[in-house]
Amino acid sequence: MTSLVILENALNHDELHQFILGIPPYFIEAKTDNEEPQNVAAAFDKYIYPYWIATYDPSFPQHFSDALKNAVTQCADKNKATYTVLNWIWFYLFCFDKSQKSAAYPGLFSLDLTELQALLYTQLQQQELSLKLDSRWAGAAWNSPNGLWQPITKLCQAIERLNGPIFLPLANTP
Amino acid sequence: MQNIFIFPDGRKFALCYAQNALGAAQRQDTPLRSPQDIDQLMAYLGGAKLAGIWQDYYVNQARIKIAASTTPLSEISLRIKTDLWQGNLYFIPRDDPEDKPENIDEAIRTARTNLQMHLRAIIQAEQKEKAALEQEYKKLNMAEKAAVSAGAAMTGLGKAGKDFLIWADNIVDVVDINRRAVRVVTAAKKTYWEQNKKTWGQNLAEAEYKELIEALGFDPAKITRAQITEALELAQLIWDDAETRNLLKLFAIDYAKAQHHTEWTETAGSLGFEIILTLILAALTGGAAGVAAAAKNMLLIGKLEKAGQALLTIGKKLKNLKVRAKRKLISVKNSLTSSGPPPKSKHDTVDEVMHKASEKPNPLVPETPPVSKPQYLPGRNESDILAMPKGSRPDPKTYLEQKYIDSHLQGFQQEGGGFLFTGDDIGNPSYQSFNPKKFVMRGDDLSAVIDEYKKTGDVSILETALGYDPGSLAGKDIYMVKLKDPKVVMPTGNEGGANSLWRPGGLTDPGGKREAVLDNISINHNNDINKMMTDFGAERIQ
Repeated sequence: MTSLVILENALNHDELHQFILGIPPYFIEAKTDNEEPQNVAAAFDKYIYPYWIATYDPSFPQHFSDALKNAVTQCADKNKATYTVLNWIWFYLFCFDKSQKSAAYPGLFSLDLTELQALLYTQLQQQELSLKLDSRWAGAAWNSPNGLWQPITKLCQAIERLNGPIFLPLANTP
Repeated sequence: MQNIFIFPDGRKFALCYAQNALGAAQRQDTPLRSPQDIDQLMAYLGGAKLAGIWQDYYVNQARIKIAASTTPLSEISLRIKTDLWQGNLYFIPRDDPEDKPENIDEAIRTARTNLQMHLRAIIQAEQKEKAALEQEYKKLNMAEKAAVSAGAAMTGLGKAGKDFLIWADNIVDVVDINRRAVRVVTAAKKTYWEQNKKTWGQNLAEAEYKELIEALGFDPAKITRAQITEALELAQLIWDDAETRNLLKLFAIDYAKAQHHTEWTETAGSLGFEIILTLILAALTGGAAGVAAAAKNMLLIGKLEKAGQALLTIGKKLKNLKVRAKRKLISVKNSLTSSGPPPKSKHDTVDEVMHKASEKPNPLVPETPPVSKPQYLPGRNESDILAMPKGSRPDPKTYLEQKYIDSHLQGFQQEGGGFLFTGDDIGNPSYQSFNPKKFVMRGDDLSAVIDEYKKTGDVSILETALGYDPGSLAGKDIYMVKLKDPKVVMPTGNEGGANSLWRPGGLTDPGGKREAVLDNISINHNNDINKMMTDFGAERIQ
């Protein structure tokens, strides 16, 4: 269990939302080409899923869901929170889909995303302009003509394809 | 019946008894290779342990009819010695689960996180103190402020913080001594099994210990020679661990900034080794008992001690890894020279293997063409560049020899370049293309790694050579793209893909493979592996 100490620290200190956002010391380094607030895939594969498999703590899915919500509501950097949490939701659904269709991620917990849907739906409406002007992470000019907005809409579309919540009205998608 | 014995080099062995003698083969991975080794082992075990072995393996198990608790020690000793040599009684390596390499790696990572948390706590506390001092400063009248500027005030917590840096800086004065001691200690340890070990113990440390504690200002009564020796050894191991080293260097800089003594910032970046040594000594001596009393930083020492404990864990685990690496070399050597005569001692074996490993191809390491070390301009070095935060690192032309850069990049024109990626890497809908400043490996280096992987099917070869975490490529679809004459530039360390493993000079760490970054070249994958295969000739290798 030593490998899960980082996550356990976050849980024990009620800082799971900081883990979600990759706030040091909860930033998980990974071999990737792109700078991200949190390396979601690595954080999920190395901590979230192994912790779940090791403990099957029935309260964990709720903690996880609450942490996603807290990340959105408590982080002063709204763009960062929206972008990071959507990345988490997409990767979780990507893994959940794999667990349903293949031998990968067996027994992955299911997550109630209803409250998050309402929260992010509103937030995306309010932040559209600010997201379009934000060229951090996937919003870099080489990757997007309109800042974080395009990557976020792509994430939202992918989430819908994975039978996840709808975060954007059709009119907002490029 | 099994008992665990910890040998002087820290390795653990289980003692077993075989009804039928197993011969010399059972001595292969133990220090028992010659009659002299057996003699040394007998001396190490001593009367009490031999009596215990006799009781456990002979009397209680009724191995031989004559076995009795009252048997004289000389007979016990002779019988055990004979059985050890004949292979009736034999040692087998015994690892605790926590000593498995993957678990050691995890433990090191965890300890690094703990260290980071403790260091963060120190910085936060210092920032809080700095804010409090600034509040006090604002309340002062003009004359008092002038006195502060002259250095007459602002003592207390702020001074304690500054003292820590001054003290660490003082250690620089003796760092050469440290290094010399480390070298001597390392050399002396190799002679552990030889007759002069006591001479080393008596002669070496007396002088070094005295000089070091005098220079550092320790109270000799509060710190032992063994603690100094252990601290130096662990500090050197940690210093060689780039990730931890960088973490501490950045801490030194943050710490200096938190003191509001900005002139320290520059100096602090070079205090890596000294800070490691400070923290380890703080942990080994129980903080205030040893270091703080002389080092003037009483107020800090409690916090430093916690960070030191995390650092100690890292050092000890790194030591475990080192022992394992040596053991692995021994087994490689055995496979290369199985018919040769037994070496004289365990440490002879290690040295011989290390020597042979450089002469013969090592089956564990893919063969690659020779790689030259980065050549720095006078006055510049790796540490300077790594101490700079990502985003502010300079153009490599400002610190590397131009001919080294030219030769490095020319290699990519001649040999091409390439990279590996997983199906998941191109699955993220946020990105439709690879980063135009993507890291690529030189073609021949990549081919050598892939060839080796294909021979063995061991995905850890790819993980090690390419700097992935152990286990992170297991079960993933892995693809390779090769680029002919790619337009590349020297990595600056500011790229999105530059993480804490990045080193200036265009060599991967670990692995030492040649790397460069694409010069704003877009490789569009559209989240579709078929597109990568069609447009860029991606080849599936797992």
